[in-house]
Amino acid sequence: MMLDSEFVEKTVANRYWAHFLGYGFTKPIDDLGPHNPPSHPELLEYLAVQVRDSSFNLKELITWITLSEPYSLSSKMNETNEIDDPLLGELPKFSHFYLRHMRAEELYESLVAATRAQQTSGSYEAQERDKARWMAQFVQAFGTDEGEETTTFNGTVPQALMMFNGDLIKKATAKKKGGLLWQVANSDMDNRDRINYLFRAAMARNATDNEYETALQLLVYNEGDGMAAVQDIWWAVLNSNEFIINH
Amino acid sequence: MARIPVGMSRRHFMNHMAGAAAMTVPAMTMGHALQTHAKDLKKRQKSAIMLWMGGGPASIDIWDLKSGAPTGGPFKPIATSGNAQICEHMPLMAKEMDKMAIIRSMSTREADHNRGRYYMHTGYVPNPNMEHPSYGSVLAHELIDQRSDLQIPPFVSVGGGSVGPGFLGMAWAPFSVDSNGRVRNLDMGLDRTRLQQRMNTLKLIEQGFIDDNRGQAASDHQEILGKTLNLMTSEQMEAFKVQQEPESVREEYGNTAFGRGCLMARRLVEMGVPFIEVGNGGWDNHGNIHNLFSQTKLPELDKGMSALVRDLNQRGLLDDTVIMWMGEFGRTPRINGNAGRDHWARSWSVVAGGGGINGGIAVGATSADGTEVVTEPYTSQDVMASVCKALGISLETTFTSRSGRPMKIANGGKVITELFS
Repeated sequence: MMLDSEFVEKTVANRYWAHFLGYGFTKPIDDLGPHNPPSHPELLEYLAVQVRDSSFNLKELITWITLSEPYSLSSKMNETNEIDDPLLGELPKFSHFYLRHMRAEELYESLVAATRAQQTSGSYEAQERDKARWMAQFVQAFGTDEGEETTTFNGTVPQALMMFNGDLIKKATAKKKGGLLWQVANSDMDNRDRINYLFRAAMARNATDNEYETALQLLVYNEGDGMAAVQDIWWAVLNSNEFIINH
Repeated sequence: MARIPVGMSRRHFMNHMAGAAAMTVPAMTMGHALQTHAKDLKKRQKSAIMLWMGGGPASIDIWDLKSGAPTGGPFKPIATSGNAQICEHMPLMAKEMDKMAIIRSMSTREADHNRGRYYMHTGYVPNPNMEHPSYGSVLAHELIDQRSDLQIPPFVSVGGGSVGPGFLGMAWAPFSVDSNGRVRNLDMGLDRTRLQQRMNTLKLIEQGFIDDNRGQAASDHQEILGKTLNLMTSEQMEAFKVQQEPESVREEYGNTAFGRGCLMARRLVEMGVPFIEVGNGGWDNHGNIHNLFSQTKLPELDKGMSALVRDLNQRGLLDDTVIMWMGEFGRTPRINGNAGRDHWARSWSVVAGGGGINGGIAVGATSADGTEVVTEPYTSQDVMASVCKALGISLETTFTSRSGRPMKIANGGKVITELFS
């Protein structure tokens, strides 16, 4: 009975679209029906039909979405689409990629990957437990019998505090011998290469001249303590909007 | 970069930061029909406390009893210090009802948790085209000008989930703490000069990204950084530490999450925070409602809420602080097969008081079995409009998204006149 409903494929298409683009065709994404018309009915309808025709092959759906034009657009805006910012209360038109804060799990994995913070901390199970414990700090219940909850991991102060001072970030910027920062500080790279190395590791680009100058000041400030300077630069890079916001 | 002497004051530090890193609030992106005049600024600071009963509380068993009717349940009404009767399991609150008004003619349409929560927090039904800011964000935004010294967030949510800032931007999001007032990750463990060095570098990287014109999320993040820095260095964070209160005061509020939340709300009002939401979940009582109410839910509510009203009043703060009690909706007059009540939005009650709202009254009425509102029905918008009036905020206040879509405060709700006449 449920499988006969057209809303099965629509819900699937809507969810995956929202997962990759940051916004679905309806809000909330799990509320579909005549009372809540979608923003792009034809596209949703088309995707839904394709989803059913492919026997709900999610891999295919992901391929279609990630190869689509909206997904490949830049997050930079120009004068023709400046009003297309759903954060300002506009219906998403998908004329550019919307900045999206990484979800808690994504950021956790990104930090681990970018810093090799967990490299030496035991079995897969132990690592998953660490992750679950870390994520639990952001969960908030609504107090209903349906067990609804929300997250404070939404780009607000608690998240920023975690990124400034949390254990994970302390670990990521630790001076541990053999760690990423230790390697950078003790390599025979010159300062420019050191700084670029860190920028590339987190943001896949080199430092601009301005950024390089500021980073150099850190070295001066830390009185030649290369390790401390590298720590400070890495801390700033990991905290930047460019690192934590999916663009 | 100049070195900063050890032992400098926080304010010094912040000024320095503001100069060096320009972590200041960027120009408002919102048009805003300015209603702030000099005379408003001279008024005393106004605040609001929302007691949020997550799950949808059965107001028929608390504020609008139908004793004797088949829908009435086992509880008896008792007299109060005001003109309205309330449930026998709320004896402490009964002594404070001269300061509070019950609005018994609430009639709304949203009986789903998610939609009801959104509607009661914003005055708008969920709409895919627009994310409306919640009460706390709107009122904090309107009242912030009165308090230039405030260093901690203007919208604090204690012990539960709230509704976000919508298009006002994440800078107006609720700052969530548990009822013990613990704020995680406050300490960097490095000296402040080092922190400042890091912030300078961070600021530079952030600005490059913002200058690429990628939308509000990028600049919002920078604003959050400034607020975060404030938290890490402000002595006002003391307001969260409820355990600093004398034992006798903590006992008065009750040693429960809700009691501590109410106590924290009073401390935050004293510190100048304009909006505090205290979350008190567990009202989604589809079964066994009356045992639960008489044994735990109502005694906890009674203790915390009555202590808050009494304490604010004794400290002279109640005239400038609006308290409101509400949830997503009420619950069915009909008692179901599991001795519970289900979701019901058509006829229910909310409670409000303080800020010049008339105390001791019940506004409106429901039918003998509680299934219908028999007087003029009121909505979320009307409650919000009334709260705005009590806080001195003009109902003409309009927010406009950058593309020109207007949003009127309280969504055109009418002030409930009985609350003020």
